[in-house]
Amino acid sequence: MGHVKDIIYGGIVKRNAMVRYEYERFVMEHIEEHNRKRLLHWKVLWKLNWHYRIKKNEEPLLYKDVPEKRVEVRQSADAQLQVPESAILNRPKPYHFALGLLHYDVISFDVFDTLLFRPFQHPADLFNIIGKRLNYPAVFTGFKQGRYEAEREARNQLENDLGIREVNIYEIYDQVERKLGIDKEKGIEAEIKAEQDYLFANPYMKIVYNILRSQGKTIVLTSDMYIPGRIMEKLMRKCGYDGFEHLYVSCDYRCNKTSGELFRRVLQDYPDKKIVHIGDNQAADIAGAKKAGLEARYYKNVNEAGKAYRPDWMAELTGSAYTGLINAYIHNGLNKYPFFYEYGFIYGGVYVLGFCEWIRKRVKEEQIDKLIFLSRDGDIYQKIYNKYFESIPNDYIFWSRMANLKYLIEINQDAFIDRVIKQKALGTLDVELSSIFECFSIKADENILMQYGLYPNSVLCRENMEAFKRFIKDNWEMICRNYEEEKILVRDEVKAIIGSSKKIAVIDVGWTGSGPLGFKHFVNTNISPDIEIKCWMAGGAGGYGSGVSVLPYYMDGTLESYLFSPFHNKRNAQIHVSENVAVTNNAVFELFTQTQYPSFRGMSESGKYVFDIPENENYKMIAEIHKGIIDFCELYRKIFAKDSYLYNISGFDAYRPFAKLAFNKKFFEKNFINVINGYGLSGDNKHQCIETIGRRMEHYYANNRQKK
Amino acid sequence: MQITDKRNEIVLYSVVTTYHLLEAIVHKLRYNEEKKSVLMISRWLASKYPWYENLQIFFEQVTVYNADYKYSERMTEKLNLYYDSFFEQTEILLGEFSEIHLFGAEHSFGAYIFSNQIENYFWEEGAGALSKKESMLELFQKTYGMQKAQFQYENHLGDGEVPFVKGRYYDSYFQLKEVEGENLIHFDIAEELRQLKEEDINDIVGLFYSDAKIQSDQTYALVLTEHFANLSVMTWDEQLFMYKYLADYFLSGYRLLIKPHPDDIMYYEYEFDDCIVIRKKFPAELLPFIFSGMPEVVATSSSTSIYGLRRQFSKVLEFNFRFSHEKQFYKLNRYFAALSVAGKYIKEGCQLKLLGVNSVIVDNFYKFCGLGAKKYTEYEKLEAGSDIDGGKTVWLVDEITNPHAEAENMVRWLTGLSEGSAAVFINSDENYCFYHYNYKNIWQSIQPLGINIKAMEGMEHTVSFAGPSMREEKQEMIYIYSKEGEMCMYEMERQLPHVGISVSAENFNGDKMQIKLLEGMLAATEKRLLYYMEREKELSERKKEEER
Repeated sequence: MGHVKDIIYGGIVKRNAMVRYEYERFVMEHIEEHNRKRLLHWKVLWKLNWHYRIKKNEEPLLYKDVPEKRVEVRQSADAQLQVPESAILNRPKPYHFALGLLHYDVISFDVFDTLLFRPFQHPADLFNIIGKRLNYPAVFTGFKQGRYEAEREARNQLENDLGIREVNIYEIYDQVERKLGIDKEKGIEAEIKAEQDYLFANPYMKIVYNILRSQGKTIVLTSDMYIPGRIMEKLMRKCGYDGFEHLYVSCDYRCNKTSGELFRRVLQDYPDKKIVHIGDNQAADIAGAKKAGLEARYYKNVNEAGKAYRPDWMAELTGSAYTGLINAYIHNGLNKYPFFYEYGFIYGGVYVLGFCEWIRKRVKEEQIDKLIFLSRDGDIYQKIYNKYFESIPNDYIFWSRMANLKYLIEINQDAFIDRVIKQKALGTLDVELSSIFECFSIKADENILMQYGLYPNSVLCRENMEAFKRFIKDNWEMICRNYEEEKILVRDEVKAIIGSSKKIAVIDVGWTGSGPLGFKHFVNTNISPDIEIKCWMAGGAGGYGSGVSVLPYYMDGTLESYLFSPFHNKRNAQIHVSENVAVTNNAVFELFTQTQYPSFRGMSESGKYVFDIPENENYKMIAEIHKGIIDFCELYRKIFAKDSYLYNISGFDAYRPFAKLAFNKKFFEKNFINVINGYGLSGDNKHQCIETIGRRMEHYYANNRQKK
Repeated sequence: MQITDKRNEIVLYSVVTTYHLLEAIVHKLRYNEEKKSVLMISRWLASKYPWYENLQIFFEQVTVYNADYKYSERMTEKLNLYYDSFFEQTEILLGEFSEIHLFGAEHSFGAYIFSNQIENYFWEEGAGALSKKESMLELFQKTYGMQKAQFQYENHLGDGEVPFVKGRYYDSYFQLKEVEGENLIHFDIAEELRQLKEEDINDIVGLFYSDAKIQSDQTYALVLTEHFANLSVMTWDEQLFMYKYLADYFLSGYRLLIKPHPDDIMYYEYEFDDCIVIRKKFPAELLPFIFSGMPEVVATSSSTSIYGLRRQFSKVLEFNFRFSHEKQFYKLNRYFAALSVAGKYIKEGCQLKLLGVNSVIVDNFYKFCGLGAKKYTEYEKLEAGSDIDGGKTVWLVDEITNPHAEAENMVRWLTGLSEGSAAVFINSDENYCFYHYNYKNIWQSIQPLGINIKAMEGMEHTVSFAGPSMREEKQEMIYIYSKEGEMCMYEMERQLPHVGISVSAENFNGDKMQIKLLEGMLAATEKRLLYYMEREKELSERKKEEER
């Protein structure tokens, strides 16, 4: 009978982790009454089963403080939508992994992609680097292809001669010398040097390794590799691994792991010992070890783990370097990073770094004597630029769409009406006219306003939009005069910053080019027409249905952009403009370059800087994103310092990671709905609020349904 | 007069853990030396100590039993069958034992003894366990499941409060609250060990620790670690950094002897130069007997692991739960700076008072670094007028409950300080509890002091594939308010070679001072703003629910 009760208990309580957790916790907290009020407790049990197993709810029913481990992470094709990418694989912590190995006497580690990583997507991509270092001209065949073929040839030859395929590096470079004309010794030296430069310890496995070593375990290394053991030992030591007892390399023993033969050599040397092998290759490390009678532990290859999330269409070497670095950082299993940190690291870092390198090159080519970074996007650009590149004089200027509108108002009546009136009237916030007047420093006479049927506390909407437009147009001169004094103050500030520079480049994120072009116009009109100003943006979307045609400025070289423009990388431009319109890629892309202070509104009469509504809610997120960007830049620069041409990331490639996201509407919907991002200029000044992306999305979908 | 020949009496000791085993051995030698005795050890213990048969130097018979045998309300019959058969095999009937000492009563043998109401001597599960029954029960339930926990609770396996328990052994030094009962017997393992003959001690030590004695002396510090990373209290790196901070701030000048917790697998030997790691697993209570000369200091991050050893070392470095579980080791740089500043005022005759500060950290800085003061008064919350009678006081202020709501009280309290007094705000949570927008003038009297944290040469902060470095260079700020509004220059510097950073003060004046004040004011305002925004959100959600 007891046995039957156990079965029932197992079925009703134990089968579901949350039912079990909450029921047992409830009983323990009410243990004194458990026997007396059995029926009540069964009722609770029934409710829990209903909630979790029948209704399939995930939210806790009884206890909100459920430990994190109870929340299961399900891996699926769109798993990145649920949790940060570093949390998807859910590897055990390294010390837990090590704990599971403590009962073995001998631990055998695979070397490449287990103990050691290279920052490339495929190991053979390193051959590109080697070829460049050897100055191989690659007239018809690249060194990578040639090296690959040479290895194949060497294996075939060895198989013909000895019936085995486990070649060593000398045999490979015999072929390299014969086929590619590269001196054998030089070639080998270059390859070993490249491995030395790029191999690094997997930080996850380093901890496991050190734990086992400190616990007195015997450690051996077992690798299918053409580099002889005596050279590999040096590579291991250089990466911080020592204390291993033996190194079994396929080219030394002339047998491999997949067949199990190499593992049998281990068994021969350690008879009667409990041995386990750890590796990333199912066939060689797991099946091969088991064939020989060893136990095995699988460590998923980081590039396999990250494959689904990396972009395609990147140039081979850039793509490989970017992908290898990201996968090794995110998927090694040591850390789970916060979502926004990953957003900056994975998607923002490559673009910001590439953009700054591009700026550096263009500065040299154009002989620019000063760089001006426009707020707010220029903040992170300037930080990264000054950290890594030669410092030509550069400054950060407070500028904004609002500044553009106000200080170029004489040429911007339609834009003013559109951005100040139409966007607010048709937007998601209920903005009063007084709020608009305050925001744009307009001193409007109430009596005149009343003539249009408007009042300061009238909420701008579709119904009174036309009346307000008429008011603006009829009082246009008054509105323009509003900004005369402020313009002078701003002019003086800008003049002081420009100094005696004759050729400057203005840096902004994008998109139509109005920011830098507006600044250029302001400088040339109010300061000097002789200052040559280049307008450089991260991305140029003008000309793609935005109604703004800046094409002549592209064509005459005034305006240039890095990631895409109407003239280059058009596929990326198309993606940016047309995909994900509900959220707008601009809004989310600009989060990479936002700041922890608000947008510039203008200057007060006393010369103080005035700022717009602060987006406090975003500041922590921005800090995380920037940290991710800064860390990516630092790591990328450090890793590829010896082959610095890898810093030359094309605009097309720099956008590809984000392009992959742009198709993923659910990703944005899930993760960005609470992010503050105003539509148009400013928000509701009276209530000090700005829309969220979520609210804008709702508004967009509602409008589209109405149109249908 | 009848003389009882004790040599004919047989005593049974049933143990589950190493601690129980040690208690059993010591009790046997102290109180039942002449009696025959049988030792039942759990399978787990037998696998941990494959040499367990050597215990026959103390016990006439040593047998292994299954302490984890399943039991529950419905399974007592099976349990009885198991133990009946067990004792048949040992050829000793349970009834023959004059005394049954039951260690780990919560396990299967305890369940058997209690369900059959057999007379026994009950031993608490671990030092202090009798005074924390509820938390022990919770831990038991998590480990063994609810059904066993229920049985344990209903049958008093955790406290032995039943008529057939003749005596309950407990260590009165470690109870968190007073334990009541008539049959309580105090037994402190460290005290009892010291009462043993030297040869007996050597026999015990020799069993558990067969290596040569560790050559040490007063220049050594013994560090007992906890396996916090394993318990998910902190990350692997954090655990390492915590011990590095302890070593650098409090144990500099000592050579380290590190005894990891049995479940702590951290590789201290690769992270601390010149340290000795004692990997051999044996009871911590035997530690004093394995050194050729006693280390001067015993150190731990939490006081539980130092039971029984405290009195045997000249100096004890111990912290509390908050230090480890709230990761307060990150605050050590601020405490160091704040106490350095407070030192100036203490020299001028101020008394030291603490408000929302972890006094254990203050104690340790005094004992090991000479900073601060031996005597101080501690407060958990603001008390109006608390300084008025106290005279010249230097306050260390840190975590205030509800800092945003208390800000105005805090500022008023500051203005009420006595002449010659000062307050040093550690501001570890960066809540700026001393800022209120209506009292901006107070800010003009506040002196910000920068704490520059720089990587030592060769250990610069770089991000690596292990993630962002924990040696990030940054500047933290503490704030000093003096009644007289005086602005002083402070000098302090500390190298933390294991952590890999140097900590030094940066004084500000002129424009830089103003900038720092403004930055602080901005940060305080933003924090306050976010707090009010959250509150507004909560209140409007509550209102919506009520309307529903």
